[in-house]
Amino acid sequence: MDLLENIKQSIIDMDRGKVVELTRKALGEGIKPERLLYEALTPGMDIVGEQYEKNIKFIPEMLMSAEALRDAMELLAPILTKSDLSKAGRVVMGTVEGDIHDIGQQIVSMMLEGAGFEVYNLGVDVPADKFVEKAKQEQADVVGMSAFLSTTGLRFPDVIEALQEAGIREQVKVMIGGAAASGKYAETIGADGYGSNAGAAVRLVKSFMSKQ
Amino acid sequence: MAKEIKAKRPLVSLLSTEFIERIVDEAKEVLDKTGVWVQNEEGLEILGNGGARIDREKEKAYIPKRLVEESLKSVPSSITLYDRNGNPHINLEGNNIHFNPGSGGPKVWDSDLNVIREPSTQDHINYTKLVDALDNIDQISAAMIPNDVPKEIGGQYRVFLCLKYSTKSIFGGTFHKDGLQVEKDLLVAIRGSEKAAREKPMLLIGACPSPPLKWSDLTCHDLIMGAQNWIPPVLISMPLTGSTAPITIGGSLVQHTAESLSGVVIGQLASQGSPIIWGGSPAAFDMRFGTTPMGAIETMMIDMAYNEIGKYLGIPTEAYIGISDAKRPDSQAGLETGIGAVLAALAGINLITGAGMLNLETTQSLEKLVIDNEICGMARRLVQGITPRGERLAEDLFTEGLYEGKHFLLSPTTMKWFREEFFYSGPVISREDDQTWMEKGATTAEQRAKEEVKRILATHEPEPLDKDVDIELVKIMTKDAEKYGMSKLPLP
Repeated sequence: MDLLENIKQSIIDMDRGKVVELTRKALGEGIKPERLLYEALTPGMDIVGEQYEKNIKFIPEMLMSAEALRDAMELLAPILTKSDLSKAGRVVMGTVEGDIHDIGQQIVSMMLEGAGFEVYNLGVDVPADKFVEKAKQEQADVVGMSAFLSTTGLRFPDVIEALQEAGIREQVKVMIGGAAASGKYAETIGADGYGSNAGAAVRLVKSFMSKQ
Repeated sequence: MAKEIKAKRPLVSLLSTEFIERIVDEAKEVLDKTGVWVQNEEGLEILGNGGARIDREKEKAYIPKRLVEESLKSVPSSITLYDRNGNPHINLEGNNIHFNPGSGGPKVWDSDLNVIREPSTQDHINYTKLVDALDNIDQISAAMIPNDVPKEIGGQYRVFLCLKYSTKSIFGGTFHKDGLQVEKDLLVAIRGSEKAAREKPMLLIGACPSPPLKWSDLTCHDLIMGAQNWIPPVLISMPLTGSTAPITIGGSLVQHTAESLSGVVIGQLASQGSPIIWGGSPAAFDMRFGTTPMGAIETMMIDMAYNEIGKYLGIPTEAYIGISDAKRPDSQAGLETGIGAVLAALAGINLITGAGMLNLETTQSLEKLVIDNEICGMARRLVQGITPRGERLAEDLFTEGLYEGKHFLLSPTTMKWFREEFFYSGPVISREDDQTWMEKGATTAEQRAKEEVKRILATHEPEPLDKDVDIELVKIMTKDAEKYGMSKLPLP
């Protein structure tokens, strides 16, 4: 359908205004919001993601497309069911306590949103109990933690322990990232995976969800 | 009689004076209108008492132009550091250049296993001994973060190892608010008294604002304590273009200048007249990979430009440059480091931090240190320039009975100048004919560097510490480690 194709292309073209205009038009014509999500918006963002992986589109361009997607989602959210909204999954993200480096995890968060995930970004310097509280509150599928310093990398096991104590360790997948993380460290502390860069992190989260 | 001609010191400049002034003016405006976040109680108090407008709730300080200008008047334009024996070692002023290894990375290149891994105490000891032996690397840095001691003591432990296994002055850092006190105690043990340590400083401490425009509790603490205790802070502002700082080089330079000026103000208010270094580790953020390439040409341009601004303000400079993003000492490592070191030398950066460093400023390599030692030697020779030698430059051309070939080789003029005029490369650099090269194993620079590392570690013995001082240092360091559950240091 032309309109859906146009919306998809507007995402790729990073045209926020057009995405909103055409989404409104589509809703006005009675097109179901699920069709907009699965036949226009998500496919558009998938193509952007592919082009980013191939170094055809760069980070600012990818983030701009994600903003366009977010604008459209604001129109759809009141009408979509909760399950449709976060069909991809719910992810709690944050930089651990004592650490203020966040550019990497911010990019991961935005890419996850672009991929259809509901992301709760707690920001920086996040104590373990805050990760747990949010994961419980939102019934998160994944908890993603970032640390840049070798000192703050020590906080990862704290969060995992806190999840265990709260009785929800089995309900979530735990992912670590940042300069203080590594595949080996993830194994050692009992995390479920390590995202070495933004693209890898998103793929990891998707793989967690597909195994559910 | 020829007039005395001095060698010209080659210099490269990226900014006109007008552009520098524009950047500095805009930076002062940022400090006045936007202010800086200061998450340290003492820092806020010092700034408030000095005349800055403080918003305690937001932890912000708005620094008026007048205060910046006053601070610039009292900051010293030269710093002398001494070696472990108390001899003058490094003079940071004018366009003097010095090299030190890139620091502090949590990883090391293992050339036996061909992997990047975490370093241990033994790795740091090997590194220290190696740098102690390398003539073209002036100062040692607390470069590796050993993984076999509690992370909280990592900062001071590296300084301890540098003091034990080398006599060179040190570029250090901390991970914990208690760290700098331990480093101070180590220095006093070396010098014999606080007074002696004050008179002959040998340690620099990194003080890194968090971009944009923020001083964390730890970094502000180190800045103040360093300023008050003859441990000159090296301001390491690190704008990442388009991600933690404005996208344009000019915009990032304004941020660097603003952050660094705020550091100068805090330092001068903490201790007027105390030395400080205008340093940094900016990067041209790669919009494809979301990484911070130190080998990008624009990264180097930002370094060179902020260094010009520091010189304009009359402050000794430092930069993280002469570093590669390669993952092992390969061609990429050579080309990025070579370009960076030469540019840094031509810019007159007083302290050039980078030797040995790989992989987006995270990984040290002993083999790369040996190769970079050559680069540093070449860069240093370059900026010595061309000195006119002798009454007549080409004395031999005026000699009776001149003929080609053997004459020049045997001429007394040749004998007089052949060592001094040229920088002779070490065994890492291949200059023999290819037949000989084949016979010697057809090696790469990386392979030759590995052999050279082995040779140096087997033969170089750093000057040992006085037995009593050694015992004292170990005592201080062990006491600190005990606080975090380690009763014996993993020393050989």
